[in-house]
This record gives sequence, C-alpha cells and structure tokens, in this order.
Amino acid sequence: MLDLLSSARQWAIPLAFLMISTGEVLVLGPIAFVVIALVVGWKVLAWRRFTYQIVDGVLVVEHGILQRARREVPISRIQQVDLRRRLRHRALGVAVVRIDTAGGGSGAEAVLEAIADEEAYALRVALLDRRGVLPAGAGPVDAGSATDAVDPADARPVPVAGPAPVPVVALTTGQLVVAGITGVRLLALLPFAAAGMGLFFELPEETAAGVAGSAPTGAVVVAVLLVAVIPVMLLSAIASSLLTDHGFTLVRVGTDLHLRRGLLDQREATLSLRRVQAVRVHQNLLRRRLGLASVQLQSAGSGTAAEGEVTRLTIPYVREGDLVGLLDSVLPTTVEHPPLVPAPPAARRRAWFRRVGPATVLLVAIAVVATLAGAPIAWALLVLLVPVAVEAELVYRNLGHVGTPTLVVARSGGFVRATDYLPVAKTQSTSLTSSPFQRRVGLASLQLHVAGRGSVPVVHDGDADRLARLRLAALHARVARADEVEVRRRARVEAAAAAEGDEVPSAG
Amino acid sequence: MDAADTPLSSRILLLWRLGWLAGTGLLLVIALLFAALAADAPAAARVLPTVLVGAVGIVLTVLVPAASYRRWRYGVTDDGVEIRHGLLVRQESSIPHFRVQHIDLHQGPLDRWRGIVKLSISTASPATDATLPGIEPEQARTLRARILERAEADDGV
Repeated sequence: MLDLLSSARQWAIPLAFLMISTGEVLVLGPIAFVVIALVVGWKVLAWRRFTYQIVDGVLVVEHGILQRARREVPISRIQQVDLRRRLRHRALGVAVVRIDTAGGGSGAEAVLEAIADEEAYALRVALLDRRGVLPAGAGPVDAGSATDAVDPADARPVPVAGPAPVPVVALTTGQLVVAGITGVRLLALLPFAAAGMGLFFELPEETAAGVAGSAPTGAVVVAVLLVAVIPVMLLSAIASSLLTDHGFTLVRVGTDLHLRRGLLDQREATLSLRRVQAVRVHQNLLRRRLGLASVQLQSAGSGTAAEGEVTRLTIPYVREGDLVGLLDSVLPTTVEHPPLVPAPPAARRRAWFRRVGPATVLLVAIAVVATLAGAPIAWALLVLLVPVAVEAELVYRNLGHVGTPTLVVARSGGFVRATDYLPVAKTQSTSLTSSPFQRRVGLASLQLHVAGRGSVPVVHDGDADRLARLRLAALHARVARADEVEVRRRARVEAAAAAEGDEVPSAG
Repeated sequence: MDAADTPLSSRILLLWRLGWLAGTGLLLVIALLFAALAADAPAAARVLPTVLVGAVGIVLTVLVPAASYRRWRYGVTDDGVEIRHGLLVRQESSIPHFRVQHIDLHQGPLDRWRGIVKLSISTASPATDATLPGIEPEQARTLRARILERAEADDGV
C-alpha cells in the first residue's frame, strides 16, 4: 500500500502543476483521472504480485508484473538485516526491510518495501538467528584451521540461537541535547549566521544617512542579532540531533550489534562485530572540556553508497570514562591503554611552520595590498594569526601514537582531536611516506590501510625509525594472518553452506 | 630477492618522458596564448614567460623521469610485496602475502607499443596502493604466479 502513496506523490505534483499552469482544468481533469487510475491499478497489481517466504532455509522473493523475478537468498549468506521506518511508514505501521549478503554486489540483495511491523521483527529474528548458527558451527570445511586461529575474536562466545542482548549504549534525550549543542551540528549553521552578520554590515552604509550618528544603534543591532542567532543555532542543532538519534540504543546480541535510532525516520541496523575494522574517537575542545566524545565504527561493508549509513556507525555521545569499556566491547581485541608516545619536538616546528607559515604570507600579502590601496587598517588582520598559532600548538600536542602487538592507536587533529583505534589484525597493507622536510628532521608518516571505505588511519609525523619498526610489526603480525585465515574460512563455510542450501534444501 | 631491489623496465622511461613533454607542451600553448592576448605588453614581457616555461619544462622532462626511475624499486620477500618509490615524497608500501586478494595486469596502447605491462595488487582495502607502472610482460607473469603462489601457501586453509 505504501508504494501507492509514494507514487501518488510522484505523479500528483506534476499533474496539478500542469493543470494550474495551463488553466485547462476541464480538459486535463479527466485525463489526470485516467492516468491516476491507471497508475493506481498498476501499483495494486504490483503489490499483489510481490510475495516473500522462507522455504527450507532460503528466503524467496518474487515480484514483477510483466517481467517476473524470483530471487532466492540462502539465509546462511545473509549478513545484515536493516529496518527503516519513515514517518509515512510509521503512520501505516509498516517498515522497509533491507537484506544484505556478503557478496559485495551493488545495492541490497533484497528490499522488502512495507512489511507490517510485527512481521518485520519476526522476519529479522528468523533471518539473523538462523544465519548466526551456521558460520560458528563446525562447518564442512576443515575444523583444523579453527584451532590454529589465535585471533582473540575467537574467544568471543559462539553465537547460538537467541543469545541474550547486552546493552552497550543507550542515550537519553538530555544526552542527545548535549551532543547536539557540543557537536559539529552547531557549526553547520555558521554560514547562515555569517550571512546574517554580513547583511547587517551592509545595512549601516545604506541607511547611514537615515540613522545618522547612530553608533549605539549599530551596537544594539549586533546585540539583537547575536541574541536572535545564537538560540536559533542552538535549537536547530538540538533538533537535528534529536531527529537523527532520538532513542539511540546500541545492543550487543551474540556477535552482532543492533542499532536503533531516529525520531521521525526510524532506523534499525545490525552490524556484525567481525566486520568492525577500526574505531575513531572524535573530541573537539568543548567536548574534551566536558569529558565527552563521539565514536565512529568503521566496518567492511560491501561499500555501496546505499549502505553508507551502515558501514559507518556513529555514537554521538560517550563519556570519557565509558570509552574504554565501549572500545573493549566493539573491538576484536582487548584494549590495553599504554600511554601514547608523543611526537618528537621536530614535529612541533613542522606543525607551526605548516600552519602559521602560509597564513602569515597570505595575511601580510593582503595587508600590503590594502595599505597600497589606502587601508592600512588591514594590518589588524594579523590578529587572526593567534587562533592559527593556537591550532598549530594543539596539532602538535595532540599528535601521538602507540603500537601494541594487537592494536595501533594514532591521535591527531587540532581543535577537533581524532583518535584512531586500529586492530593490527585488521591491517591490510601499510605505507610509510616521508616528504623532504620530514626526512630532514627524521620524521615520517605511516598509513595503515583497512578494509572498507572511510578515512585512512595515519600516524602523522612520528619518529621515522619508530614508525619503520611499527610497520614491520604490523607486517609480521600473527594476529593479522589469523584474522585473514578466519575470514577466508568463514567465507568458505558460508559458500559451502549456501551451495548445500541450493542443492539439498534442509530445514534450518 | 630478499628486499625491494628490482627496478622497473627501463622501457617505461620513454613513456614518462613523453608524458612530461606533453605537459610542457600544454603549458607552452597556454603561455603562447597569453603572449598573443597581451599584444600591447613589451616584447620582453611576452617572450620571457614562454621561454621560461619551455626551458623549465625541458629540464624537468630530462631530469625527473630518470631520477624517479632510479628511485623505483620493488621486490617479493618472504613476508610480502615491498614497493618503494617517490622522488620528493618517498613511499614504502608493503602488502603481506596473505592479504593479496587479486592481481591485475593492464596494458594500454602505449604500454603495448613499448612492450611493458602494468601490474597492480589489490587487497580488501581500497586504500592499498600497490601498482608497478611498467615491467616486462614475462616478468609480470612470473611475478603474478609467484605472488599468488605465496598468497595461496600463506592462506593456511
């Protein structure tokens, strides 16, 4: 039925526009009626043709009016089952169910539009539970490799049907409000505020004659604008935070993370812990002062654009004290916390030179030009060097890294500090780079490549020799080898299970 | 054998030089265009930039590909594939054998003309940058077989 709604929206607007703009409502009215009737009829037919069922461990989806399609998805291959409910879905009590498999084709394996809520939940439980049993069981592929694997991820409890959910994160409205106020959402509105200010600065010159001698008036206007703009910015930041993350709960079920969030547009996603590749912790100055952070999990999704919201899962509000526990429960290794090794002093000079240098050149050039044009006041712009210098110093102080046998932690950033937690077991390849300036002072940067799209974790401006050793350690890491063996073993088990499911359907 | 010590095929040098030459040519055309537009400027101001662009371009064309070729080294070690290159920004990449997903051999028309092959190694990470821009076809096939053999042996399954 929902399909009807969205297509009605698609058609109604152009038609109404057409009718109004031509004014020949009498002629077009019947045509519009016929078109709408045809579309509605077509949609009803499409809806009647769309069926899904689970037959012997295989999800069968059939649809199509003229060109009929039948898709069979072995449940053992299903990686993710996501639920999404927009406002219109919720009005009708239905949900969109997206089903993804490991084979990274484009788009979802199957999308079931508009399944009644209870049915959608039941379906998800049915699909995920059965899937969970297979890869962990002693599959048909050699059990020997399983004992070889030393990946600590193996120490996790073996998923069984219906494991008890363990709450990981649950955010209250108050926490989301704080997250909205302290986060980058506030900055998203800065351009509008700036535009408002710009508008004001345009004003006095035009109305200067009218409000002659009105220096105090100017100050009043600025004050009014500030008073008006700041609440608007705060409110919209809060609103946006609540809209996307209302009721944010993250629950661990066996080896899966279940995420639920959203006020009007509700989303529920599952993410297999095995697929978490790296964790990034963001903290801006304000949040650091308040002891808060936001945490981003990067997973090795199939990488399609549609899956974007799933391959990166962001927890907007985490107290610093809870950080270690959270990292522990989402990363496949136990998180030890050795202190970070600060960057060598040469990195401070580099941070200053790279930020203050270009800014100075630019501002001096502007000032010189302005002076020549008769506005020496432009030298006041040099004040802007202060925040630049502050950021340069912050960039240096934030730099740091540490490598343990199982984990690399790399911290960087200025006003916003980012700390990457990267299990050595997930490193695909490494790249050590050094510019002439870095070489002169014995620095280098180390890129650590992990599966999945997203920013590449980099250890910036570390001591070249240290990073070279870290690189070798990552290359030789037995955990990485074990991880790869495990990933491939699972792939084979799943493929074998899928093949078996195709040939001899067995009741799951 | 033990380290990254194999150079690329020297046949790629000509292609790189042609690339730099083409770049120089493009800049020259732009410089000439400006010179033609600024007809009232003194002759020196019109000719000098063009000459400068041409001279610098030619010098770079002679120096850069050769220097960058000398810096290019790759090798298959016991652990993985090692690649090091870069004239100004130097890069040392390593890809463990067991992470290798697939290997592509690619030959464009110019590569075919020079008889060289581009070999690139992929892992599960899209950020992995491991491309040998020009090696001899026979060597490419041997190398591919060797890496895949090691990747298979290392798989452990």
